[in-house]
Amino acid sequence: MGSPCQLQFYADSPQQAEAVNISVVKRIAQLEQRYSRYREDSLISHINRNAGTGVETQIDTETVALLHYSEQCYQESGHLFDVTSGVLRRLWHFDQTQLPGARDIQAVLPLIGWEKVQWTDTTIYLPQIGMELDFGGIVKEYAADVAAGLCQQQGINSGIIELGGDVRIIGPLPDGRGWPVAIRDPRQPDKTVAEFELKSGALASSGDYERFQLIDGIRYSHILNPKTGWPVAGLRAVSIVAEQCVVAGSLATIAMLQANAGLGWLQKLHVAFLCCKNSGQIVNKLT
Amino acid sequence: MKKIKKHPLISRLSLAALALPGLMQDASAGRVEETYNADFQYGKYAESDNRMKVDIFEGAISAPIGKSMTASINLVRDVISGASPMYTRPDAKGNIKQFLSGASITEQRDAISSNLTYFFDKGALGVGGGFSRENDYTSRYVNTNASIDLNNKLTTLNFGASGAFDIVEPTNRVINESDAEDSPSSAIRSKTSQQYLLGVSQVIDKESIVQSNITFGYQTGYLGDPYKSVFFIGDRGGAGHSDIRPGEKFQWAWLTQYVRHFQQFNSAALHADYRFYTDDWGINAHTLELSWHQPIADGWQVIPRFRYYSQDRADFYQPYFEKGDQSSVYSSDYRLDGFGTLSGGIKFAKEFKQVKNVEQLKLQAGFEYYDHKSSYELGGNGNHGFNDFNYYLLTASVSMKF
Repeated sequence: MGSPCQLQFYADSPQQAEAVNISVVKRIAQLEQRYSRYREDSLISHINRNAGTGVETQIDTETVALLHYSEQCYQESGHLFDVTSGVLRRLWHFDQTQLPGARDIQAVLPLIGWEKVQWTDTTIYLPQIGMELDFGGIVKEYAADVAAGLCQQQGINSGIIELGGDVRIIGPLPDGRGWPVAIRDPRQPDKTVAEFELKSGALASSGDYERFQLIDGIRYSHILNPKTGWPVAGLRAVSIVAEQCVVAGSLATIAMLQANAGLGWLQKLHVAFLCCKNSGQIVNKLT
Repeated sequence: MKKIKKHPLISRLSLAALALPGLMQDASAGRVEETYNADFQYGKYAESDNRMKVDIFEGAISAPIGKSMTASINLVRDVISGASPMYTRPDAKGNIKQFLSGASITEQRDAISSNLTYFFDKGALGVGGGFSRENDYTSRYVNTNASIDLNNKLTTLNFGASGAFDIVEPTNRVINESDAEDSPSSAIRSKTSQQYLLGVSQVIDKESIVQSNITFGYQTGYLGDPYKSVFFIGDRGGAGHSDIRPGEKFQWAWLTQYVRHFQQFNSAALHADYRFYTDDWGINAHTLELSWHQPIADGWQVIPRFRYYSQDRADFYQPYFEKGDQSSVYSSDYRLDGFGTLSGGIKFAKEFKQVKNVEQLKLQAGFEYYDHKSSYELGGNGNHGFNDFNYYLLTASVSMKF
C-alpha cells in the first residue's frame, strides 16, 4: 500500500497465526492490485485509461460498494470529498518548488466532479479524457477493516492492524485491556500528542504531515480542495476514533477539507477526535 | 465513558460502510439488534370446498433497552370462519363420510406476548410470557430461554423451558347432555402444558451451519376438543358422543436444521430441516422441509419451498366405533388419523435500504399449497379418502428496521 503495515494478533497456534497472516496479506495485496492508482494493471488505472473514450469499464460488487460509499462521502461533505479530485496531483506534486499557475488550475478543474461520473451496478465510465478516479482516501482504511474482519472470521479475538498510520482493532488484549495507541505530533513525528488505550473500533488520521511540499517556506498539504484546486489550510491534523476505520478516515479527511470550519463541524458530530489547529493548539475530545 | 447518541451523519456513513463487502461479518460478530424493528404480517388460509377460512393479522415491535437488552411485543389476531369436520360415520353402503359442524362459525382469537432478552458477552438470557383469548378458550404462558456461546461463537448451546395454562369453555356445544362426563358443571375445563428444550448449533465452516434440538413436552388435563364428536354404530344417540382422550400426553421431538450458503450462486442459501416427533398416544411423525433462498438483484429474493409431513394414527383413533367397543378413550378427530401432507410454495421478498427514516424495509408475499391425503402417509396404512382435503395459504408482510 506504499506505506508501513503492521499486523499483531494472538492466535491459538503458530499454524493458525501463519494461516491468518497469509490470508490477510493476500487480501490486502488483492485490494492494492485493484485499487492502486500507481499500478498500471489496476482496475482504477483501467477505468482512468478509458476516460473519454466511450468505453465503459465492467465493475464488480466490491467496486460498486466503494462507489456508493464515495457518493455518501461526497454528499455528507458538501461535495468537498470527491474521488475525482486526484487529477489535481498533476499540478501539485511533491518534488516541485513553485506554485502552479492559476491558468493551469483553471484548466484542470473541469475534469473534477463526482456528479459527472456515469456508473451503474455493473459499469463505470468517466466521460472526459483526463478525468481520474482515485480511491486513495478510502481504500487503505477499508483494507484495515477488511483485514480485521478476516481475522475475526478466523477466530482471532485479540489483535490490532495498522496500515500507514491508521489503526483498526481486531479485539482487545487477552487480559481485556485496550491496545496502547498514540497520535504523533504533526510537526515533530518523534513526539506524541496523545496516548490512550483502544479496545475496539479504529483510529484514523488525516493531516498535512503525511505528504506535503514546502514552497517558499509555506507548507502545502496533499489534501486538495476540489472546488478551488488549492491545498487546504486551516487544520494541521485531525484524528478520529470510530467503529470502522473507513468511517474514521473519511471523517478526518472531510474535517481537513473544511479547513477552519472543520473543528466546529467535528464538535457538532459528537465524535471522539483530536484536532491540531494551524496555530499548534490541540483540541482533544478523545474521551 | 458516557455513551452519546450517534449523529445522523455518522450513522449514514457507517451504514454506507457496512455495505462494503468484508465489513459485514464484522457487524455480525457482535450484537446486531441495536435497532428498532417493526413487523406487520397478514396471512390468509383457505381450505378446499370453502370449508374453513382464517385471516391472520400479526404485528410485532422490538426495541433496545440500554446496550444489552431487547424488549419485544407481539400481537396476533386470527379470524376463523367456516365449518370444521365434526365426526365421520359409514353411510348405507359402508363408505365412510365426513360430517361438518352444521352452522358456520366466526371466531376471533387475540393474543399478546412479550419478551425480554439480556445479552452477555458469551450468551443471552430471555424471559417472556403471553396471553391469548377467544370466546371459548383462554391461554396463558411463561417461557425462559438461555444460550451460551462457546468455542469463539462457533458453537451455541440453547436451553428453554415453558409452561402454559389453558381454560376451555365451550359454547353452543354439540355434545349430548346425557353424556355422563358432560354435565354442565364440567363445562369449564383446564389443561396445563410444560415443554423443555435442549439444543446446539454449530458453525461448520464459512458456508454452513447445523442446528439440532430436542424438545420434551408433557400435557395434562383436558386434552380433547369439545367440538369433535364420535359416531357409535347401533347407538341411538348417533354422533352425540364427545370424544374422550387420555388425560395426559408425553411428547418428544427432535429437529435438525442445516443451512448452507452458496457464494457462487449470488449468495443463495439452502435450508434443509428434518423433524421427528413421537408421543405416547401412538403418533409418530416425520417432517422434511427444503427451501432455497435465492437473491436475484436489486434487493429481490425468491424462496421456493417444499415440505412433506407424515404421521401415523393415534392408538385410540377410529373413524367410527361399534356400540360394544369398551375402550375408555376414543376419538375420530381427523388430526389424529394417519395421513401425509405434501406442500409447496414460493415467496418473494424485496428489501429497500434507507427509505427516509427507515434503515431497512422488507416486503414479502408468498403462496403455499397443501395437499392433505391419507394415502401420503409414510408406509401408508390408510388409503381411505374421507379425511382428504387441500388448502392454500397466502401471506404478505412488511418489516421495518429503524
